[in-house]
Amino acid sequence: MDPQQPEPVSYLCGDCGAENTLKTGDVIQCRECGYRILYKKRTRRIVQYEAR
Amino acid sequence: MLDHGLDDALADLLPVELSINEDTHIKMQFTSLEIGYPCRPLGADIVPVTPRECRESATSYSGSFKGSIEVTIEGKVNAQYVIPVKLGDLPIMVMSSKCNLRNLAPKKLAEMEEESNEVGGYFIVNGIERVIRLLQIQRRNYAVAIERSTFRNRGNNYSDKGVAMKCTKKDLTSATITLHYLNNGCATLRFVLRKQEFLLPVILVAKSLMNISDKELFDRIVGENLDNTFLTTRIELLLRDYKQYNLHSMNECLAYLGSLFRNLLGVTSKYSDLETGILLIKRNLFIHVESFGGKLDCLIFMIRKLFSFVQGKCINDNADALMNHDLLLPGHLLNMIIKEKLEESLTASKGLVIRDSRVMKGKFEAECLKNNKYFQRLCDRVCGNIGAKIATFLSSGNVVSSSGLDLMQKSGFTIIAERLNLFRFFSHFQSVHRGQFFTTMKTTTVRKLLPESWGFLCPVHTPDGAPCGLLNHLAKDAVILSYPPSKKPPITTTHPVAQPSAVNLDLLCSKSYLQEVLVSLGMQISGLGNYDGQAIFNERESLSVLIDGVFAGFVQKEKAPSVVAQLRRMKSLAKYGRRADLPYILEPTTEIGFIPKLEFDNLGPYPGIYIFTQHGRMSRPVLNLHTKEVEWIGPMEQVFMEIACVKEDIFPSPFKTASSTSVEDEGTSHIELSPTVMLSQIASLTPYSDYNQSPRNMYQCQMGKQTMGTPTHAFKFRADNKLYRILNVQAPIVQTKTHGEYFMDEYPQGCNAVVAVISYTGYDMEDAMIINKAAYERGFGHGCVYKTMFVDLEEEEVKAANLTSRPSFKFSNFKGVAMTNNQTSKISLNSPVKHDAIFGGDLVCESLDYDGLPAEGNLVHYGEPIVCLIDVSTGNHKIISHKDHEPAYIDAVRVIGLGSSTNTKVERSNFRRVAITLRYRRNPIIGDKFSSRHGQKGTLSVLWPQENMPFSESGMSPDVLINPHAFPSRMTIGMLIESMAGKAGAIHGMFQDATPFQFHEERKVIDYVGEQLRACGYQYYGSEPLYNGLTGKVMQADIFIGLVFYQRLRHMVSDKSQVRSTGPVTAITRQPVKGRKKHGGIRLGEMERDALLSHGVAFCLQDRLMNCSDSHVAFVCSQCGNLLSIFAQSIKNSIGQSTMRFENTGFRTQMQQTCHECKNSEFVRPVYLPYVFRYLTNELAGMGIKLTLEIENS
Repeated sequence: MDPQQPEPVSYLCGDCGAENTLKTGDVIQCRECGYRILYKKRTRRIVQYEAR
Repeated sequence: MLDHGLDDALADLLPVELSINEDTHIKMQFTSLEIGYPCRPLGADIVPVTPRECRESATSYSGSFKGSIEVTIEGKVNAQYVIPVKLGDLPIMVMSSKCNLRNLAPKKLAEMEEESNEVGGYFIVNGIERVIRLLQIQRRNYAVAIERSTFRNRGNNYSDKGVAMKCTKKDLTSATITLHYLNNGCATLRFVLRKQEFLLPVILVAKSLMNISDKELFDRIVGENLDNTFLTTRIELLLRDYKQYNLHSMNECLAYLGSLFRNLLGVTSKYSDLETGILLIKRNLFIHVESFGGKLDCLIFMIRKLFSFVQGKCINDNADALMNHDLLLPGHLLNMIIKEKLEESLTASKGLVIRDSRVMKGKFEAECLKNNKYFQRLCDRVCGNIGAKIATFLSSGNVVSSSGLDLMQKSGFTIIAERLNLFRFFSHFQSVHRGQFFTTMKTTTVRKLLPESWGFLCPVHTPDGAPCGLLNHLAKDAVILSYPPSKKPPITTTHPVAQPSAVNLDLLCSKSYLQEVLVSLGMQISGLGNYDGQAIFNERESLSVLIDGVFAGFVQKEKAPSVVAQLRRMKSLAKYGRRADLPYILEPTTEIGFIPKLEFDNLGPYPGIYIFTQHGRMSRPVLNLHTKEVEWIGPMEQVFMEIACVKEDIFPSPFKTASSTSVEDEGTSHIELSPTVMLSQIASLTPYSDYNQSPRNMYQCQMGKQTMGTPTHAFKFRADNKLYRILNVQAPIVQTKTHGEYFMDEYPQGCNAVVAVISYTGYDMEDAMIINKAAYERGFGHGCVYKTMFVDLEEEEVKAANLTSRPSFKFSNFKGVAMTNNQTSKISLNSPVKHDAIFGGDLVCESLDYDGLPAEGNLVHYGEPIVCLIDVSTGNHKIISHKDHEPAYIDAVRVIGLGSSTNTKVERSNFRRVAITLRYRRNPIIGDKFSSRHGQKGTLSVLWPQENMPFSESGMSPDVLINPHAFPSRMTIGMLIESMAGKAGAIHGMFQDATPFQFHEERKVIDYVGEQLRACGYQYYGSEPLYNGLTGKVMQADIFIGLVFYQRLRHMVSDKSQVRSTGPVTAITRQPVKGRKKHGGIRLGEMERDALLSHGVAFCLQDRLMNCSDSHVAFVCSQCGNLLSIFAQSIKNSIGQSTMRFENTGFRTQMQQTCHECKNSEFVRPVYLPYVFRYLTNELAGMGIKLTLEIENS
């Protein structure tokens, strides 16, 4: 089994807000500022809300 | 706090010495300690870490703790090494002087995603904010007379009387000394060394403190009280008793003590017995005084107090009164623990050196002693985990200590600083605990509210129930002196402590300065030691003066009040500095405890003037009527002061003699700044609390802390387990002054509701309330709950591991399919990729992204996947799904890079931890709890349509209906006034000041708001005619309607609803399991059973207790009555086969229940029984008791 399976997902840096695209195995760190907490972006799927 | 405390501790740390082979002496000593700012490596750089980062990534906010150890070797090898050691990562208090947020502007803090008004005071350990509790301890450096029955258990002749003193060093480490009175007239001194108690005869101690003759010692203790035969006979007895030791000089005594305590102190052979004795006394007895003479003075003072107490000349000091208490502050406690850990690590290294020297023998000298690398390795080994130990202390609250640290408890020192709302968060920092020990006490005396605590502890703000009276809260204006004077920052309350400028404050607190001041006021220097040959204290005519527990001299009884008044003048006018008419000034927070000599001796505590300057005390401002300035007073001084609460309380007015500067003790000397100073911050936020029955105010203090509010402004950047948030918020129209002072509007927690007090639908019975459905739809009480789950691969791997293998997980959403590098390169990062086209693997969960995580904004229902993990070694996947029955939105998904990227040891990626925040929508539903600010709580019973609500003449319909029965027995008049004041305030467009104690009989609050209501056309008393919403008819009675601020409490049915028909059962009894989380049942107990029985609903009972529980078919032999002897036996056919062919089911073994006892299946009958009965039968059988059932054959 090859552990280096790359799946790109983009994240936003928790500090500077820069977009980072990471693959599995990449180090979790913002490329701009080096912050170590990254946020996932908001979903692009349609989210249906209940409006009552 | 740690900044200077650490230096004090370092200076006080003793070097560890050891000798090898009698000719080599090694001495090890810490020479420097340093705490760094929290930071982490980033490439080659080091960048600061913020608290926010630690909270979000569930790590600790800690800085590196370093020091250096000096090793000196003498003897065969002479060498000296200074060895730098790393002591681990020490948790740093947020906003302390080593915090990265210190001194940042609010705007900057907000930019860093912290609270703009962050005050800190807590630690972050593994992402959890924890506070070290304030603890009440015995007053430092003050001898208290105690009567305790357990003293009798110490041995033969021991009486219940004693005098105890908590002697405290500069770095606030303490050692308690207790003098015991023995029924035969003797006295012994008790002290604790390494958790063991030791008793010494007092004369032996006195003699080892100074070369003093029996005659002189007698004179010093007795003074001129030669006619007091009670005292003289006992002192004579003490001296005579001492003769048995046959020790005459001070050195003989010291050597004797030294020889006894040699092993315990762990000194080397280099030390003589005499030196050991000196060490013992220096480190353990009267450690607050340096000089031996001063120690002797202190001992003599304690002996005097003891005998005067035993003789009944003074009463015992109340150990529960605040007067005899100090506070144990977080910094001081931490400092004590760190100091001890440093000491322990040196002792540990000593053991290792001795072991090594034995093991290596000849080679030891060459390889170890001459090599500083040996000591480097040694020190790294013993010191490296000090930071981790402190972190464990903070996260568990348990102190692991070899000396006991002179504390009453070992655990419960820390609590989580819950951010439920601002009330709760703040109250953690204001709470003062009496000590864990007292929670187990059966007597309630410690819990009593004593008048001594006025102005320091809030009488209202204490929980009811188990911790009642033990967990108190500081009054609004009371401050804790946490710094030594010279390091004191300005205290930022409404009345800042004005510090005199350009004066050395440490000097003002020094004993020599205070002594000089006192002598100028007429004190006579007395005592032994330094002042040998000076006047001898006369107990009858004068009062002793002690400065921080050190005997300073005495003052004539008649002069004492004026001396004290002068001292107060110097204290309260200190901010103006020295002047011609004020040659001396005192540090403004100096405590001048003056216990006057009363007319009859036996009425009061032991008289004297006790001056305290050190920190760890409480202090509060009052106005000095003589100087017209604010004076800071402590709990001991206020007991004997005349402080008026309001102007009317002032008696023989001192204003009349304003011209004379010689102020006398007659009459009131001080006045409170405001009558509300006795309340804590939370209690003073209750509007019109002076009109409520007092327990209701206590309830509000509790409920205010359970309200859904605005705990933070950085919701997005917090990863707390659970955060509550209210969405529609308003500033209360009716608010107290405190509300503005503490900027409560920044963190609102409720809204103003139009409340009608009416019994309308029947849905408002028994503290239920009706909410207008339209108000609900406009947003009344809307809120949400954030829950954060951390997924840590490390933990998941350990959880999934079995005996043979441990998976190695990664976050991924692809079924394990091997990849070639060729495919990898095809991926373009920017264009959307059709995953399966490239990877050939399938997604495990359609709803998750490639990384196995959900995207922000998705809705998850029960059982839907949130995280997908792939085991790299096997290709198996593990899905973590949503476990709540309530649907939730994904509010944030954080991927957290742990560890440094430069760490090459770990080959795996640092993508090991993820925090997912879920948002639950929590708009009010039936059963949710609400309350006003007057201890009036209720649950929502129905959302009533607005068209059916009653309405007023102006067409207004209320948001909330509550039942009139809520008032008569509870007497929350404050709520009625709030309702009227709120109504008037809303119409006039102004906030109402509801600070307590501003209205009274002559100026009635009802007239004040009544007039306002009349001015805008409402009825004077706040009621209105309402029309029935269903019929449209006007109602016969006027209805009381107005605006009340409503809080939504955090108790919500969604968190509590519990229902099951069938579900998980416990294995042993087959009865339903307990607990809502496990989908268990609710116990139908004996009382419930009785109720059902009395109703005669047998079927219902059968259903509850049997069918829904552990009903099963048991086979019983009706012949022998046995339940356990039945087993299933296969039936054999004529040719001995047990398996037979049946026409419709194929081959099958037919079983028959057979009794083993009777060897017979004829009498076996099926019976419905609770399974637990079978279990009981088994248990009884195990004990050799046979249980038989009598079954009638039918």
